[in-house]
Amino acid sequence: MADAINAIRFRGAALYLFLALTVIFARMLPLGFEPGRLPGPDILLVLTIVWTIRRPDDLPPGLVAVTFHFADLLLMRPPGLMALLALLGTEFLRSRSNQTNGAPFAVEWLIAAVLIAGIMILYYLSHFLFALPVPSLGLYLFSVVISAVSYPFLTAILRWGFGIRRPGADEGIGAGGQL
Amino acid sequence: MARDNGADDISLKPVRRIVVGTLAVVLFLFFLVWRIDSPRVERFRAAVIDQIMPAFTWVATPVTRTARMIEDFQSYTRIYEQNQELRRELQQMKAWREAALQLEQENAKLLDLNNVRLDPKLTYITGVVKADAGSPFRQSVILNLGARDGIRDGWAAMDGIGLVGRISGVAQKTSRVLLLTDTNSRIPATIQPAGQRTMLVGDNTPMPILEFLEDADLVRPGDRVVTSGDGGVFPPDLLVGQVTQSPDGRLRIRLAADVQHLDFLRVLRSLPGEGITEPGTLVVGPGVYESTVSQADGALEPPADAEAEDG
Repeated sequence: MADAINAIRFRGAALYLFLALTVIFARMLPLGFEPGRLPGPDILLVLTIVWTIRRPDDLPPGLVAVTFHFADLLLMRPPGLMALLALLGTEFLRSRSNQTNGAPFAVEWLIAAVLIAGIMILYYLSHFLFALPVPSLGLYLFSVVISAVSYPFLTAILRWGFGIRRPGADEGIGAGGQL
Repeated sequence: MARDNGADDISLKPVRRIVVGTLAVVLFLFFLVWRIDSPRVERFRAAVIDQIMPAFTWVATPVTRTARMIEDFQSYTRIYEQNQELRRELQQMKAWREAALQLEQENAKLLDLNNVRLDPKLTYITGVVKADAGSPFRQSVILNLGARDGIRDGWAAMDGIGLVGRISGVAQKTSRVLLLTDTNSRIPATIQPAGQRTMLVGDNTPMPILEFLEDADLVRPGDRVVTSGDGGVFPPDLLVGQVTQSPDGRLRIRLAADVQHLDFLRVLRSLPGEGITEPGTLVVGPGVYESTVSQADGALEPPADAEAEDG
């Protein structure tokens, strides 16, 4: 039984890693160089938040840290900064997981949106704190909003495309549906 | 089963906290080290990208090709207007071609008269754009040329027509080109007919700003902008683009290079020019000058030695 649970958790972690790498590589494709275009949502961050809420057991903190650090290195961001914020954000979410567990979707979205905005704004502010070149505020705020808005879409894609549901909703294995 | 799980959770909690805490500290330290000693970490980053790039190329090439094909296919829908446009442009180009041919002949004649030797050191290597920075806030691309091709930091990268950016970060097999549109890009330039010196400052828009102009009245939209070679950053007289005025009244530059569709880039091998620091080095080479000075000072070395050095 424990082996079966471990196998499923491992499969979940592998799927997360695969999706994360796909997102990072898709952003690196040499297609749109156009400067000043509107930024899209930070899909990797939103994906991680969805996963933390839906399948917290599949996503060990080490995996979050390593994935984001890798993304930091490849996407020319300050290395380690976003990884640190994402790690702390997901851990915070995990410690509150009993509140998101039975909540209606609107509440879940609200919590996720606040967390996404919090992480991204902290990221922006730490640019000031460490005297790094600051991205333009308007565009950045736009990307914060669009990231928060993209949460339900990503949830839907993960749910119906990859079967990532809430623990204990109906399939039994996860946080304790079978107990 | 249930009790086992519960017991596990309780005993694992402190361990988990320690793991998360350690990870957080490690990440923060990495960030701090980057902030303090950025070149070293950037080299590490370049090496990581160097390792990733072969795998990435396998994934990216089919996707990129497909996307470009779709883009091309979309252009069929407005093929008629495009055709008209091309005809008009061709008409203009013919006139220009005549002018260019005449100028070429004249230029050849003048070069011949002056017996000019063009700089043979200014050659180039062509590379393929493999990936971009993947963020709307950073403008840079990765080339498949690296230290093994002799690429060095600071060299200029051009597409067929105009300057695109400069090499910033070289790994063994890949290198990064910081585009002119990036907020970190500063390039000294000259505005052509007026001879005004200026600075091209990228601000993450398609048109970089012209800053530190001496006299903005002498500059008109449509003037050519070329690199000035000040500070030894670039070889002089590389075409960058044309002056234009944005709606807010600032002078900007419309790049001659097609920054939206970068495919192949030329990296110019530019070796630093010989600096003239002392008056004597202008006439004779620096080595000769120093040896004569030391002889005059000490007068101890036998002349045979000096000759051997010269040879």
